[in-house]
Amino acid sequence: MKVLVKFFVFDLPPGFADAELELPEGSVVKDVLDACLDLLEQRNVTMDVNELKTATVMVNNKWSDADDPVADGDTVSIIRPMDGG
Amino acid sequence: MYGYTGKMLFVNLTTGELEDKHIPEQWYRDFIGGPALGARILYEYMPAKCDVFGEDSMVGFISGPFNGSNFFCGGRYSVVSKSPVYNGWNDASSGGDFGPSIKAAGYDGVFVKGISPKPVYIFIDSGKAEIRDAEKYWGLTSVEFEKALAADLGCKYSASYIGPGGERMSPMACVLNDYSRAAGRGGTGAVIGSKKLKGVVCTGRLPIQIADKAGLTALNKSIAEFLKDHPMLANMRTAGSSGAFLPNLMSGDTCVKNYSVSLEETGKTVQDFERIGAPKLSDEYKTESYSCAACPMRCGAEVQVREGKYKTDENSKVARPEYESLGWFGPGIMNEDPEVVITCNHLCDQYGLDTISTGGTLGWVFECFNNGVLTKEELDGIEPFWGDGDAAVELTKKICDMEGCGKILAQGSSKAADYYGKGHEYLFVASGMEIAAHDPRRAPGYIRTYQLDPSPGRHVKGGLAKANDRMTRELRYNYRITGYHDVQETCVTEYINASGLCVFTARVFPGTSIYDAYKYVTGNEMNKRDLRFFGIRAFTMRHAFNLREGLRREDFTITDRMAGRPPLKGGPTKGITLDEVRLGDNFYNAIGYYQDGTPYLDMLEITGGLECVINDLYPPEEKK
Repeated sequence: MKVLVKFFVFDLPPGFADAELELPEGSVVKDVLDACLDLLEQRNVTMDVNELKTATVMVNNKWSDADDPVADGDTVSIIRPMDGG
Repeated sequence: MYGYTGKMLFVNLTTGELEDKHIPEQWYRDFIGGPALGARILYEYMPAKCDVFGEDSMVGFISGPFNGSNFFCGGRYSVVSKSPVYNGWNDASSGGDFGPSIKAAGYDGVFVKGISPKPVYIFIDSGKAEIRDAEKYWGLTSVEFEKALAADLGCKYSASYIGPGGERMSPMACVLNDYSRAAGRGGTGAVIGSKKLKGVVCTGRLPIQIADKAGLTALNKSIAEFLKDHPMLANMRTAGSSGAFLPNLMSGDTCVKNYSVSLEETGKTVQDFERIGAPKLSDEYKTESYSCAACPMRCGAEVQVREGKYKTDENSKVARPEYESLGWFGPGIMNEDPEVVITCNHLCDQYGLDTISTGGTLGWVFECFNNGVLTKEELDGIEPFWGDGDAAVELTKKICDMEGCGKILAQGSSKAADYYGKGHEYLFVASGMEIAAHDPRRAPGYIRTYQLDPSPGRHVKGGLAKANDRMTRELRYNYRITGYHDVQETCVTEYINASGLCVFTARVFPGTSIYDAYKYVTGNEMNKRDLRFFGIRAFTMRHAFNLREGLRREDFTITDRMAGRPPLKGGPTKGITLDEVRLGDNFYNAIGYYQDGTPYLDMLEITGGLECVINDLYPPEEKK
């Protein structure tokens, strides 16, 4: 199945493009995050693993937890705010 | 002494006396600079419990060792005073060029007491200071003042000054430099205004002695190499802190509808506010970037609104609003129009008002009006329905001019609620201070910092919130062992603020570079142990100022809504209620204070450099 991942992450470069990821059926949010780590590596972007794993995630604009399922055609938003400043 | 001039300027505006003062060298070692050293100096020279607007009240403009050293991102200076909002310790910092300019003019800081009979400014040129008449500058906005001053002086200068907001002594008044940079919080601008002091103007090119110049240059080179490919650099250069807006809004961090609901509950989505955040804000309005002294990030930008009712003056420098201002003038009042945000922000910059306190007060007014608590009649005919940008601009203008209801609102939301005798349930304040656009219900560490930092309501004082962002949701709301992280992150931020670094960028720098730089600049070590002792000493010095004012833990209040009482009904922080008492207890246990906020004697003795506090809290006869 395919999911569209959108990044709302302060520490990523501006214009860091959305990505369509291929995942096995039955995947959950944490599988999406693992796939994102590979994506970041492919794009030569450094990001702390812990920061990605503790990001807020929305699936189809609904707040989601790590074990929530994702389905074909879902949009997954990865959100990392900036503190202070 | 490396990294410093070794000299402070003390000015008495009542008598017109100026004095070069050499404070003990040990104070520099113990307190480094900025708020920490400022607290030590005010503790020594300012009487306890004096009237914040009285002759004995002091205000300081103080640098850190990195100011003028050319260490990357070491350009921030601080203003220190008592706060007219909560009558306790206040420090606030700002970037731009003024910090290095104080040192290039020959001083590490300028401390002012007394009240001048007429408006004046302090002019410093290469180690020589004088008090000059400022009658012609009184009442001018920031752009008008800087233009007039530049024409009169005819030389390169840097100034730290107040606008009409400070002259009229609004507790929301900030201290400006470089047109729109601001030491925003806590109302030090009002204290400066009460002294009839327009500001401090510095010129000169006196060198600062650096302990190891070659080491510092090599360190800067390695940081530049590290940053070259770092995403933060590209993000900051393009968007500045506006890059944080959409992520923070989505995460539940931003102040939606005066923090009363989550974005989800409003029926709006992040797309509705897209034009306020990056990249659209910059794409549509940005004209050029600028940076603070010695900063490769260049996160500042100027903007222009080229047409329409909010068209900006092409000859005026208009700053791109920072994240906090975007939050408060945007979703804080449900406004989706970036031009309204730019206009409100620019008005505050022009008049010298803190955008967070002004925006927070607007949020309170909007909520009061929409819930029938404040009426159109009480607001001079203005009807601030949620999302009404025109009403926001009209109210901001009234606050800036202190005209009609603006005179009341310019006192801040807490004092306005007291004046009207209603609306207290909609306040989102810590000890009367409106808070930034960072919701403690998302990162609980903020609530401890907002409540118990010696300068309440601040988002740039470190603490547990910094660690929260690297925690899973379960850990974030687990209060069992918060004290260690809370103190550790506080110590790092105390160091950043004291040395003159930027809180944004310093944490991105690789490895131990921000501590290595201290050795290269001053010749003094800063290892992990030193850092912890310094951080606790710095926090305790600022805290001791409040203790001497008679303020105790129970005097540092937060409103119930801030702790999620009642909790939000939707969004990522749905159902969250915080235990701020436990977070405070943990922090005090870890730093070495009794639960009422009194530091343990043995902690004070072990930390060192706090003999003045020991003498006041544990007089010799009591110690026996």
